[in-house]
Amino acid sequence: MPGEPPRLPRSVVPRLAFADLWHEWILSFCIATALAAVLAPLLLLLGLKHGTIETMRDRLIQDPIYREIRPAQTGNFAEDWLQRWRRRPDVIFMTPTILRGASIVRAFKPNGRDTASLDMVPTAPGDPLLLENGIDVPPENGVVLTTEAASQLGLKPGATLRIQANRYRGSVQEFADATFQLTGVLPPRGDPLPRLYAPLAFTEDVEAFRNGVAVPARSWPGGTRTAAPSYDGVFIIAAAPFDALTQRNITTGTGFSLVEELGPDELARRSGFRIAGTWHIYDLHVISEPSTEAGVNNARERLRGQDVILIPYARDLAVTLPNGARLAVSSWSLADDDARRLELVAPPWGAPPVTADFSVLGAVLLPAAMTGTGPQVPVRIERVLGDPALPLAVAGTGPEGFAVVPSPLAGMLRTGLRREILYDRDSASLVLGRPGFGGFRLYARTIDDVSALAAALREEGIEVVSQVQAIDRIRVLDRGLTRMFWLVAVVGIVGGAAALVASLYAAVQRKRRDLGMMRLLGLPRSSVFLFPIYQSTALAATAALIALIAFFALAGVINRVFASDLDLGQRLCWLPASYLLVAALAMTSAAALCALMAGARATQVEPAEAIRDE
Amino acid sequence: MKPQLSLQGAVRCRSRGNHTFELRVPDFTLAPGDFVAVAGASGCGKSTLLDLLALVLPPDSTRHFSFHLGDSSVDLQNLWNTGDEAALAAIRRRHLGYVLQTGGLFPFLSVRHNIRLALDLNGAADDGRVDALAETIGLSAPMLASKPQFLSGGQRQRAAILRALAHRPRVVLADEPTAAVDQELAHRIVRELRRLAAVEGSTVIMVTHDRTLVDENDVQYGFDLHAEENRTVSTCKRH
Repeated sequence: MPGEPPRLPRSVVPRLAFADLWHEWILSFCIATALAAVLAPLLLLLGLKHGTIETMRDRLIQDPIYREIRPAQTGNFAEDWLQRWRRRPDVIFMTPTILRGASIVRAFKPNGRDTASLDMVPTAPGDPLLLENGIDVPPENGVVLTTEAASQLGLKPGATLRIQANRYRGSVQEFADATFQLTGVLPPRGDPLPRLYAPLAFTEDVEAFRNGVAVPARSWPGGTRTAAPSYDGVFIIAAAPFDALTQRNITTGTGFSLVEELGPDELARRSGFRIAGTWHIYDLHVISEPSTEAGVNNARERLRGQDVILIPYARDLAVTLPNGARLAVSSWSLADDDARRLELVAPPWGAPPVTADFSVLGAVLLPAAMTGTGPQVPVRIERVLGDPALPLAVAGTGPEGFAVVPSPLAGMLRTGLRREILYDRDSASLVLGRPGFGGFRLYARTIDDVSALAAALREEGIEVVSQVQAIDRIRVLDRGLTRMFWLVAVVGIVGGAAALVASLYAAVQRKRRDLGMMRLLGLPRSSVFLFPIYQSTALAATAALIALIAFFALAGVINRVFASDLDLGQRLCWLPASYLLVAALAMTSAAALCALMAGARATQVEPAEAIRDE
Repeated sequence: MKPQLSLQGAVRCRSRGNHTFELRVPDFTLAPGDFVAVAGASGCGKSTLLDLLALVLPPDSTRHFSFHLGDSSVDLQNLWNTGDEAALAAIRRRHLGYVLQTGGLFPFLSVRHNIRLALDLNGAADDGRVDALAETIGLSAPMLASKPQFLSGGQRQRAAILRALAHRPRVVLADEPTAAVDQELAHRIVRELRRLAAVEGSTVIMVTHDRTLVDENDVQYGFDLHAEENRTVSTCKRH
């Protein structure tokens, strides 16, 4: 046969290797079993760890409560702030909540007489607390009760539910009623307390009603959200000086706490108006927190019988005119009679009550140089929250350096330093902006996002309540168990590898003659090198198979034993297929590595040994 | 006719302690179809000669060492010099067959698989050759299916002969093929080896210490021993 001899077929060496293993099948089976005895307990240990952690995580993952974050204290959260957080990718749902005190409502039992007090919680489309507990988010005319609440009321889904909110105006109790369809009952796992989950808009309306504001859409009576004035002080112009008792009287129960006598110059400096004659001028003022109209009225009450003129004022207000000029605001109200006695010109608005409409209050006196701007001037009020532009009627000429406005208007603007106020064109009045929300209910996308979200909220100064500890506990446990697993695994793997190396090496020594014969028959060194590697791989693959069978059998037993403590579908001992595959492959590769030494030894066997070793 | 294998002017030394044994092969040439008997007492260098011819031991030096394949020839000395073990292994695989003292069959393969291995190693199909060979030598189907350990010594040697011949090698090396069987059986086995080699056209080199197995028509080689003080020189000569 001329030319190159045909190549050695690849399958010859593995076939020889496997035939050898098969020939010594008892020995091979024992080695494979020994290896399986290393792998199977490791798989079980890993499976127990994995199954336990997964079961614990499952409980957390399936329960949206563990993804909930809410503020620890009542705060004031503006809508746009909420929007910003809602847009974060790790936030799956966020709804504002109303103030705790405003959220208690009464729900009527079917007999129409008996009631139960329920805490009302706002909900909105996408609320995972409802959805992941299998309850639809209620529509506009629907509510969801917790199981506890439903059993207290004796209601079933589909029933009609009458809800009543109340408020006190003075000593008169007022009620607001609404009727809803009960669309679902939230299982205790979602919320064990007697609660009512209602559409956000309704809870907002209840909160407004509680605050004395009318809700026209629901025909609930009440006032508007007129911005109530707040004052830093009252100029008191008295015919006679105050004795100590009077001074004490007016600083008690009025919200004002200091009395200071002013000279005419000081009053002019502060208000722009100079009072001639023998009047005594006092400045009754607060230390920091402003007082209210009621406080002013109390002071007036305390001074009954004395000849005094009271002018409430607000400090630290300034306006900017369209031409850019900046003027301090002077609060000034004076009735015609009083003005005559003080030998001053009364402002066009006199001394208007707070309730006067904006057509009276919305006026300003400007210095002579600036009155040419027209009958109405849009001014910007500095530092006022909300919409700081106001159209004010130019009512005349006032002192230099001041924009003089009626005291009630100044008081309302003073309120705007603390809370958002708006000029409502429809009612031509200054109204309070929607107050921020008292709290929120936020759900992270996954339990792993909770920690970072809570940290981010804390960074903004918002203390939050979350179940992050429960999640971290699992993570710490997982880490600890993983470490323990590897400790055990290293010991087992080292032992198993040593045993395998020894048995493979011994096998090569034992089979020197056969290996020499293979070389004599023309197998190259590289082929006999592979001989123990094929064997080792086959042994490891068999071992992995035995270990897997053992794992599945034992895991099945373990899961059956603990089945009563687990939810349907949960397993205490379980590994994903990928883990098992990786374990089997790792085992086989490690075995191939273990065979390297035996392989190297095999290549040293000379073909002559087959002839000589007779 | 061109020789099948020629080994000329070969020297191979081996030392044990301060004693040196030197094998000299002035001219060992085989024609195709020869049946060569190498006879000699133990210690005369039979094994060393066989190792050289089996391409598992390099000669220290040769004048000429080649293996002939039709018109071309392979310079074996050159392969040894360049350390081309793969090429030597390939020649062993394709062109040589071996019958060892106790057969050298693999215990983990059935007799049939042992014989067929010679074909498998060369990527050749069985095509009933194993059965045909087995029939000529009297190995039954149950024997073929058994592992070698269940066969008698004579049956094992017959199986070894079949494995050595199965892939139609140019040269069959038989190293004391009958050392493990009785005299009568030994003659029968050698007779069968002779007959099969003749049918297959293989050249056979049989090393034996038993001169009664040698036929007068065989090409015969023997050894001349010269012992000096620390040195034994054995020269392999044709008789």
